[in-house]
Amino acid sequence: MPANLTDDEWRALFEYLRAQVSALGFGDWDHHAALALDVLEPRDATTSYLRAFVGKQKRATNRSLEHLRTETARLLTKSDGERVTTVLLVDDRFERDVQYDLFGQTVPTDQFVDELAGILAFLESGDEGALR
Amino acid sequence: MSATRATATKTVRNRVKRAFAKRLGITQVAAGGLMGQSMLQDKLYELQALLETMDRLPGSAANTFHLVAGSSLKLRYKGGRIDRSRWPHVEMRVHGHASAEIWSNIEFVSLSAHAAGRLPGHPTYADTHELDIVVTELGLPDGYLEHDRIELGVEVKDRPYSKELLKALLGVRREMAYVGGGRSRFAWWPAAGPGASPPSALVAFASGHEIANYVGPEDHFGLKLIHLP
Repeated sequence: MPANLTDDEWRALFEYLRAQVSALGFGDWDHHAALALDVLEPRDATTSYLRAFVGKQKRATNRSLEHLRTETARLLTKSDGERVTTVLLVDDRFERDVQYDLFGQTVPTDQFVDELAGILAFLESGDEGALR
Repeated sequence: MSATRATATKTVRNRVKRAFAKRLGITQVAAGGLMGQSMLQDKLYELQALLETMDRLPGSAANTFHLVAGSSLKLRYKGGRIDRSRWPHVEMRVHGHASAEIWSNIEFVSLSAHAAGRLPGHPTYADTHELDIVVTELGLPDGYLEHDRIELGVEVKDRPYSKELLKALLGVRREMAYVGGGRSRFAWWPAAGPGASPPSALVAFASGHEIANYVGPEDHFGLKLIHLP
């Protein structure tokens, strides 16, 4: 980019990104990530923040889930030696447990990850081709 | 702001807005429960760290892992006590012989509570700390894990690492053991430092590469900080 953006312009971009990430439901992640990156210059904080978020989304795509499912299958049940293929998140805060299938969740699409990665590449290099 | 910079900034904002708007739409349409995507993705990273821990435990070629009590691995929303009737755990076997148990999301009663004589069964809120993953000896009883029964604790953070996280990690480590003593049989990294009493160790996995900036206190406190992308 926009290597010639001023610090205030980078800060404004950072705040815009943070608002989008928070609106998507990652407010807690945003809070901690912004705190951790507070020591960096505005430009580095912005690109590091987006890089971290892209990484987080990439770890949850279908391809990553398939890899995790395969790895999880190294676990065998003690009772009958079957491979373990289901991982549940159990919310036990209420009277009745609520279970979520970790491999059955709505995942970030490759398109979403690619779009964010393209924006990151543009911010880092200034190459508009990265946005296509 | 020059026209070129203004255009570039506007382009990025528009791209960001468009990408997030599409994703937000999909998330809202598919939302079937109260659990947010953020928490689900955090738990995916915990699972990744659990599998990584299994890989790194000493003797990995001879190790096999078996889920006890159930056919689904269960990760808890928040930490709690060991309860064998309710929560599965993983048994590690070396050459077919059970060697250790691996639990997720377990709270332990701190060294300071023990030193003050507070009963393990009735800890105060400040007396307990959660470990995302813990490796213990076999057959511990139900209830809060005691600090001197931890062989290896694992903390997991899917986010950029910070000084605050290091401080929290050092605090947890302080409540696990005194400095000086033995070495955990499950610490896979080269021996260094004065050891610990009881001989436990603590590992932190983080997705943020910044974790490499915080390795200073590692050896002295029996800590291992690992970047797990």
